[in-house]
Amino acid sequence: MTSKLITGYVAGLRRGLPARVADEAVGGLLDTYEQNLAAGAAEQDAARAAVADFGDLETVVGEFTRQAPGRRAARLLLATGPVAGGCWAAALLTSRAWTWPAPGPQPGSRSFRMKGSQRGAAARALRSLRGPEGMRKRAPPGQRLRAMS
Amino acid sequence: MISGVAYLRMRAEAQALKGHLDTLLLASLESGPRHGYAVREALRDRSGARFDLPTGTIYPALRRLEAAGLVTGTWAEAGGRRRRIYQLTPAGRRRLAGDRAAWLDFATAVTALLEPAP
Repeated sequence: MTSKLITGYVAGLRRGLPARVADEAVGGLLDTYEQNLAAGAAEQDAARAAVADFGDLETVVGEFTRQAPGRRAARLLLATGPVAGGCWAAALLTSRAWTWPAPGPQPGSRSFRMKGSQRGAAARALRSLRGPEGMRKRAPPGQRLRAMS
Repeated sequence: MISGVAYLRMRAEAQALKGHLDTLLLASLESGPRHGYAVREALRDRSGARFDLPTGTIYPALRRLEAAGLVTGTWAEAGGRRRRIYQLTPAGRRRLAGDRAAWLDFATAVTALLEPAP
């Protein structure tokens, strides 16, 4: 018969850890408990010593959690996310991504063909978005500097 | 029952050991595969019962070494129970060799400094 103390500790390990990790930890706890029994300790003493030897439940579970691969992956993503974002931003800026054509159907594809009235409506809509003078061109760097000074 | 001084000394040693735990675990696996409890016993026996680490610290540390590719773990039946058996990988052996050489250098230097002046 296993002590209630051991049963409670095992339940705590199983609550706090993934099944396979808990299996290993529980095995270690039972090894210690059985070793104490084999050395002649009474059941309660063997259980108390095994639990004390294994360590505080929260600390042990916390230690396993800190080593979990998912947690490490999350930390890695947190650390590398801004770098990856920065690389994308640099690549988009250096290739002037705002000048790229908007993605859409390819010329010649069935969905691309518009009737004359549709083309006219689309052109009017674009003109209204651009305003009366059309889209402003970016000033050359020299003019921008003069404007800022 | 241990005395207060002995307890404090054990706590201090446990803290000092933390920085070397990985190397000690790798060393305990050098002679062959072991499960977590056997690793703990090997550490205790080889240190003359001086390093009696809490069992609960051994398993997470072994998992960390496994994640680092220094040991591999496989499930096997041993002693009537399913256990995870760990063994060194080639990378683990290289790390152990490096750590051992670094420690011996360090210990030699400290020993030389602690020798009574002639």
